[in-house]
Amino acid sequence: MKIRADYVTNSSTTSYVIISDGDFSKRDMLDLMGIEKGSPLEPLAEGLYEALYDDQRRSPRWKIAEYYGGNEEAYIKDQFSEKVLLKVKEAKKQGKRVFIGSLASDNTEVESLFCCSSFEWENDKLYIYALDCVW
Amino acid sequence: MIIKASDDRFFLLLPRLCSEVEFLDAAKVRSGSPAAELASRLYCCLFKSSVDVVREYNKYYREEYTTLWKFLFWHHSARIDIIDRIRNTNSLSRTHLLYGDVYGGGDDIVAQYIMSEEGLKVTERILRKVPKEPTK
Repeated sequence: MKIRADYVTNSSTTSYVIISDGDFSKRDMLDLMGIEKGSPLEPLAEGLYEALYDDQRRSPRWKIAEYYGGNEEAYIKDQFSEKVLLKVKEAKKQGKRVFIGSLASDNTEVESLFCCSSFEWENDKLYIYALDCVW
Repeated sequence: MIIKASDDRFFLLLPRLCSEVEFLDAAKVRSGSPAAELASRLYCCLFKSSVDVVREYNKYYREEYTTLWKFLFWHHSARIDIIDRIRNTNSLSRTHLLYGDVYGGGDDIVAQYIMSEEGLKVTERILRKVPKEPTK
């Protein structure tokens, strides 16, 4: 058990959209981040992958169902941007997978690191958009 | 070696000071990648606002404190157990001893990660991979 001895702040979240050519693995996350095999930074990519995986298992789409009647496109346009929506539509046409969710700062240390950061990463296999906090 | 002295202060014991390029090489990250940017931020948190305390002691505080250990205890408020860890380091005479405020560079997000249990391990692994001799 961990006990925080100093001040406690509110938690925060960062929303993300992931476009993937099929399922993606930890190795894909390492490649996207530019982490070579045997790098001391491997736990960061693995931690982020696990955080995203856990988030998807928690079914974060309830807000889309509740506030947008399940209309994912309306949600993306409203809460992210037109640019992201176009990217998602194009990806779906190409049969790619789209994952939407959010990272929280009160889970693991790695998740907290990425939750408090804004980033947009892309390579041939994966696209991650995490510039906004929209939940 | 990195030693956490408090929630925001740390000591670094290094065979030599490394450049940012050497640190990124040790981190094994692709140039220009998100991980390289992260490793650069780690480097800044560790090195940009840290001071060489042996140099500081010899230059300014030698007359005020009779030993380096008293200087660390009274001036930098280092705990006795941490001073003992530093004293027991092998080849201390050939080691650079830096003291820093991880938040001093203004990157609170990465600073907080470095001082976490996992962040300290990751940082330690990078520092261990820095070559003992300068790379050409």
